[in-house]
Amino acid sequence: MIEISNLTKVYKLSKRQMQKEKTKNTEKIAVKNVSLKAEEGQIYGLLGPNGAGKTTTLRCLATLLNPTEGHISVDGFDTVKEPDEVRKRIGFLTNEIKLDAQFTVKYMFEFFGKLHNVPENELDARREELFSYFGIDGFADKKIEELSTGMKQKAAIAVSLVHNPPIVIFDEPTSGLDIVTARLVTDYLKKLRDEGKLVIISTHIMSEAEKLCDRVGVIIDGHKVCDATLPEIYAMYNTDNLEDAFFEMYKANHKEVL
Amino acid sequence: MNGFRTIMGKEFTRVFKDKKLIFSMFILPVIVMAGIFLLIFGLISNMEDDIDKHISEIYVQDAPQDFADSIKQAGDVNVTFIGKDADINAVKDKILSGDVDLLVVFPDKFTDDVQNYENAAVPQIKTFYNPSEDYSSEARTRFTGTYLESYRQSLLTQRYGSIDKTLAFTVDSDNPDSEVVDGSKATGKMLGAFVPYFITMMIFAGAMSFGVDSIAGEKERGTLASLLLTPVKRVHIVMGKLVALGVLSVMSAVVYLVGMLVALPIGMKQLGTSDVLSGLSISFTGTQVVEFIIIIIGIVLMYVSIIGIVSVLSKNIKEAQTYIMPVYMIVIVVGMITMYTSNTDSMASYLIPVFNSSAAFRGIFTGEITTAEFAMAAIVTYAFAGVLIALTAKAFKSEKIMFNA
Repeated sequence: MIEISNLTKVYKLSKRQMQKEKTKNTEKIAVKNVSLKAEEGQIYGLLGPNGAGKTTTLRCLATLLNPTEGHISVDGFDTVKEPDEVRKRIGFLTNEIKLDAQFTVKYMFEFFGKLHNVPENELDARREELFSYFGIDGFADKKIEELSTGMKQKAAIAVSLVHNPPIVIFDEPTSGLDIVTARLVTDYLKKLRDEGKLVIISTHIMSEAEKLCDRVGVIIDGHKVCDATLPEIYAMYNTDNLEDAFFEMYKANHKEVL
Repeated sequence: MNGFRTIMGKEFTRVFKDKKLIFSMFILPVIVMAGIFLLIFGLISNMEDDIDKHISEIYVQDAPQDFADSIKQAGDVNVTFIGKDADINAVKDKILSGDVDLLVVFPDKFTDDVQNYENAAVPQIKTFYNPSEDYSSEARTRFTGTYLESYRQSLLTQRYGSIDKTLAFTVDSDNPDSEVVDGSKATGKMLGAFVPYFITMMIFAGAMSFGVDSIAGEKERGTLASLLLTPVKRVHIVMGKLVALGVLSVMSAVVYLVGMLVALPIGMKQLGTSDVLSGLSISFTGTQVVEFIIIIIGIVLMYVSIIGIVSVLSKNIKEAQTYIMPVYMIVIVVGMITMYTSNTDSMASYLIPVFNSSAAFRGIFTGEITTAEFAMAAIVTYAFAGVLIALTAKAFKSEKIMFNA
């Protein structure tokens, strides 16, 4: 189970960043007072426009960033106090984190398996399962740098799941993928949920969230504006699709900054 | 510790699976070192050969008959005799243009003055040559050193009956035991001056090229963050990378050293100066070997941790290279200071990191370091490296440094 309580993340801006963002503030609030709860056997979707704070929230969750205020607990372990326990339990995928280009997919898979202390025989079984599901066998011995975008994403997904984590956190897992590969990924996430795992994804593709998520949290300008199941959202906004509901939320909550 | 080994293993694989990298790190240096040495020695010996073979063009004015007769048989000089009234300025112009190598002018009444030596002033033979021309300098050396010298000796022999009568005393003309020296210490002193400097420089250079890529490069490419997602202790990640870095840089330094040791004797032989090396002998005591190993591991750890902290604080490879350059300069300069400082007696100087390890390294070679000085240098070096490694591990935990957040 994941519990985020009153998460606030403030970035201090350097002079160069202030110039880039055209602001005189020395701080930027990325996420403000966000609380949410996600449980096993659930796909939780974090929705929001670009720059809303989705990635920041997920990075805090993955122990890469420390909350400025509030705290996050993953299966009862605090992300700041016991980061190693949290890291053992999560598989994290994001676009900015990459695999070493000069190594083969197989080497990377085994490398991260060892770092996660996966026993040798289990590692072989994991490799067989994930490589055959994602069709990696054909390019397992190729270097990452020789792979296409889709192949790289498949490899990254397989590597992030090497230790069979009970909690899977994917930041925009289908971005840049063709329709066939994207479907392969979303189907796998459903399979993980059905196995009783907790899956958290972030996305700005509403149709994807509609098909995939059991529960949705919407973040706009760093604030959580909604946290409900899809039927609840449809009822609240008197609509039958997520896109319309999202626009209603956006209009109500986004302050135009000029 | 599992994580430490796995990360170290990956760093080795990165290098040893890459044929281009193996070639550029371990094979190219030997070829380049050997090539440069052989080229330099080859060029020098060619030049010397050429000078040796050149037949000197010499003009001699107003030469006494007996001297003229003796020099006619000489093979390495081609002498043109000119009369008392000849224009020597024209000859000097030819020296300037390189057509003539040397002009020798005998004074008026040279033979008479030599005969009446008791009453006359010592006659002076004048030479004119161009010191900026190798042929000209060599011509003067040959002419005065060989031909005029033997002419002088023959005149003195005529005058006194034996050349020995002209000598009041000699120095070491028959004393092979003149040099009282501990051969091992002398060699140690010579090697102590330059080997530590060379080794530390090579280690730093090697660590620099590997380390910047392994830390700043991984940060730039976004691959370091994936390591941070694993439950491996940050200090194990840092140590895994730095120890691999240390081993690789020592290997590359050894490769350079071997390249040099192979090329040097061949080059010396080519030059005909191999006897310089044959006198070298060095032997170390057990203590020296232990001290040597302790200090070199300390130096390697210290250098890789310096490179580690600079690399982790940099946003990308370019920035890391910019920051590391001044540090490299400091290492080189400090090495030079220890190379040219004859005495590092004061204990205080063994408290300064970087300097103390270079000084200790040299002291071990010459056998002049005390146990206390060595201990001080070793403790400071290891402590300094330890602090830097701890700081690097701390930097790995900083979101500001790792994610610019």
